[in-house]
Amino acid sequence: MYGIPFDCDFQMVHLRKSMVEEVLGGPIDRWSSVPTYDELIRISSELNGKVPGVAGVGLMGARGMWSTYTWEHVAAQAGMMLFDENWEPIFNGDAGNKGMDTILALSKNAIEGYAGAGWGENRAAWLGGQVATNISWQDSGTQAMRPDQSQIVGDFVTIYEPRISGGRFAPPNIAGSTSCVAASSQNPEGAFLMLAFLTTSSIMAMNEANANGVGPGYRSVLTNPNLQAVSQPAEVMAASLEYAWCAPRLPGMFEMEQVIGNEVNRALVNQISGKEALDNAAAAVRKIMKQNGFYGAKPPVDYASVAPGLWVGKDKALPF
Amino acid sequence: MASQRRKKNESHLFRYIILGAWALFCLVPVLWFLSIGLRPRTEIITQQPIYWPHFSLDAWHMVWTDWPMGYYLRNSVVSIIGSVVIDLVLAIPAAYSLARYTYRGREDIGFYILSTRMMAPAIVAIPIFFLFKNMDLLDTVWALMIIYAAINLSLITWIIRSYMLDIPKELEDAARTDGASDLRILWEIIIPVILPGIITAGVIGAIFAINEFLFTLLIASTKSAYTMSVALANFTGGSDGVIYNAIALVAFIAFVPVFLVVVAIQKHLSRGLTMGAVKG
Amino acid sequence: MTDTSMSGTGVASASPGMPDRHFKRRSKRLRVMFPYLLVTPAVAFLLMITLYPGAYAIIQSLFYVKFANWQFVGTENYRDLFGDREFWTALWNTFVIGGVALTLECVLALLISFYAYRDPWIKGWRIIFLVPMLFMPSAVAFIWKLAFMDGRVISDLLIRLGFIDNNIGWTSSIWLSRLTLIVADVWQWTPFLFIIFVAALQGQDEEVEEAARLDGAGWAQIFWNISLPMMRPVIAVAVVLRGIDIMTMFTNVYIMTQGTPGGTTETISYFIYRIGFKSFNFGYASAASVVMLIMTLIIAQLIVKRAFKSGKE
Repeated sequence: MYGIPFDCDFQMVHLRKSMVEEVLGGPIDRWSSVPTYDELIRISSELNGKVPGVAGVGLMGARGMWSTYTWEHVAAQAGMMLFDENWEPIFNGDAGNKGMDTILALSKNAIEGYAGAGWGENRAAWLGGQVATNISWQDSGTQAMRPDQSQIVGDFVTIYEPRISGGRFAPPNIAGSTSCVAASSQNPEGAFLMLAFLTTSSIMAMNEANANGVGPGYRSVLTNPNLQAVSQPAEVMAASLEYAWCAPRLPGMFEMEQVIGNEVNRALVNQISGKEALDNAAAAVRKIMKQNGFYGAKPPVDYASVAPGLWVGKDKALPF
Repeated sequence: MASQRRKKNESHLFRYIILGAWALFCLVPVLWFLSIGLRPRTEIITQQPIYWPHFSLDAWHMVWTDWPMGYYLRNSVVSIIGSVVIDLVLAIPAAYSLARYTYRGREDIGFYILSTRMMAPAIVAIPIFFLFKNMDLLDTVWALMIIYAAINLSLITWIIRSYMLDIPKELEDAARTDGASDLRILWEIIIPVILPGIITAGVIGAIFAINEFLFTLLIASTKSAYTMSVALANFTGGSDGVIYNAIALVAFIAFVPVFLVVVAIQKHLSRGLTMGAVKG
Repeated sequence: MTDTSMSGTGVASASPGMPDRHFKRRSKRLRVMFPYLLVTPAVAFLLMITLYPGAYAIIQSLFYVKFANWQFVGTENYRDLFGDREFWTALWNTFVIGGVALTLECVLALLISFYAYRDPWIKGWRIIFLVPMLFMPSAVAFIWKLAFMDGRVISDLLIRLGFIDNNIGWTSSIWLSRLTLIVADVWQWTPFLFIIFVAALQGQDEEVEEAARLDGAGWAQIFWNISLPMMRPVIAVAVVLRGIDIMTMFTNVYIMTQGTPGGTTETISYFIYRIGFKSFNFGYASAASVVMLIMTLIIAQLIVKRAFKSGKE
């Protein structure tokens, strides 16, 4: 393992309990109530504007890394891989476009500010009760429980990641600069666990875990009922950890995240099509990769060494 | 006669509608923002905006207890005062030279000083960042002091120069015939006469320094150099999201002294803002 | 009425200089050098802060820079830049957003100062109208971000007035997104022009005005035919100064839109910042800086120099 995480987050899907249950006509089951993104699109479309001031779905569609993560994370369910074994970008293939089509469909039901929403804006809208469902990071599930900041305490559920029909089960997605740990680790699960601990560590959750005698770095952190009581995401994360995926952290990755996200943002505001966006991004990424020494005799990162970390769920039976 | 009077009253009415509307446009957002600072956080971003919130001093307590606001204030004050002092030391002789002597290259030197005001911060941001990094000055008030001084030097020089140009030559000539040296004339006659101009220049420079954002954003990374201006933006980056009520209060904390000082130098404001180019 | 003691509103001219000074106990050499010596510290300081970065940017723009690792690429950064859609978009945005905002500010400031300058309450108006300018720009950006976007206040007011049915997606539309930046800038900086214009109007010769009025000229005619021509140099200087600041617009973009949607609110300053400090592609950002520097120098020579000298005969 080389690399210390300094900014780590898992994307998750959160629902407003009362609203979504009304549409579903019954209580939410975390595993199966919203099995696919198609279902999330349907639910958010039905909920959009049903209550004045409440939009169907919140998602981070701002330029730069925000859009990148949102798209990456959905596309991963469709089986998207960023690179082939020669480090050629292949994310503009079918799986990538499926992910793109999905977030474009979601954006039709999205809160009006989605195209400018990074973490801060998305969080504010979610905690302020402006959205009925939300694709966000795990803090949005923990902080929503805090009465000093949240309008929706007790009225939300963090669910297991919906799939894409024909895709794979691939949550959580590790965003940010942390991915190096997982991608370059020979023990991806250990790396995910460490990240899981770090990322759930809103101070409250960490204190709770410590107070209950739970040391960091173990799976038991996430399965600890006391931690789960103050952080819904901990429970979800613990159960879906074995299917986690991540983007490799490569030289030039900051720049790549920016160019991909900028193109995705253009698609989200209908300036270009989703396919054009991904094709543009792939061309830009290839150029950055080349500048950073890939495609030569000796690439700076050996593909085989990071491949095991790209998707942990390979060869494991699906839990549903 | 009567129709003329009616016409005059109508034009008065129209005038007050225009001025009143603009006054509302200026003040309503400010008052609303003040109300943001004095409400609990849960009433800021909601399904529909809340216009009559509950009163709360949460943000006030938060600003002073959770955040090192004292440090931010100190950094702002130290770096700004330091930069103004540096500027005055450099600008007064320079302005004197530009205003009172004729020599080759004077116009070009004057214009060079003026032109530094036009430099977009973004242009020099990257090299300056590395310069301070190599000098080990990143994240210190010294770096801020130097950068603010550089940003404002042209402004301050030109304002002071403009005031110096107003001084009648006879005043100096009288002193000179008494055998006073040029430096003594500068110190004992010119500076006291243009003191209001110097103060104006200092105040306007200080305001621009308070407002400076990009350089401060790049240079400061912890409480040892965060200023009020950048601290605001920093209240948005953490996992606590954008804390608008705290931002509003900090904005007002910084506003009050600036407002008082500016009202005090009102008379000189237009001249200062145009770097001395517009008198009156 | 203030400032009646100040004469006129003309643009300052350079001093006539001091040919015949008596430097009794000084050598001729020192006498010649003296004014240079006075101005040297300031110039040296400014050179350090402009010349060094300028040279540094030019050199860095010839490299592909990954933190400590510099790889010479010749003019590749420049070739990329001129073919970069985002760069040209940023230039165009800066021009469009700045141009609209500056025009609006100028028209509004003229209108308000025209109505305000003979008003008996002018001192009060002036203090009120000054207020927006005295908030930190970053705070102002947050005020408008909350009003337009996060807090939905503008949308809500428009819904209540019956103009629209749903919250407006400011950040999804090119012109609405630009509008939020323009409103924020107009709100904060119209006072800047107002203060200057009102001072100029107050300084104009009341007798000329009175004579024109006796000849039957209305307020508007006086303003159009007498005040405005008289104010031309003042307007030139004020607009140039405001224009410089607007063309370097950064704070509002950084806080409010970050260039959304699709880069159509990204200004050139934000572009450089983003390439340098978000993508960490310093060489490329430096190339953009150098291009912008050259443009600045051209504008400075062509416009600014003239505006500041326009009052001089």
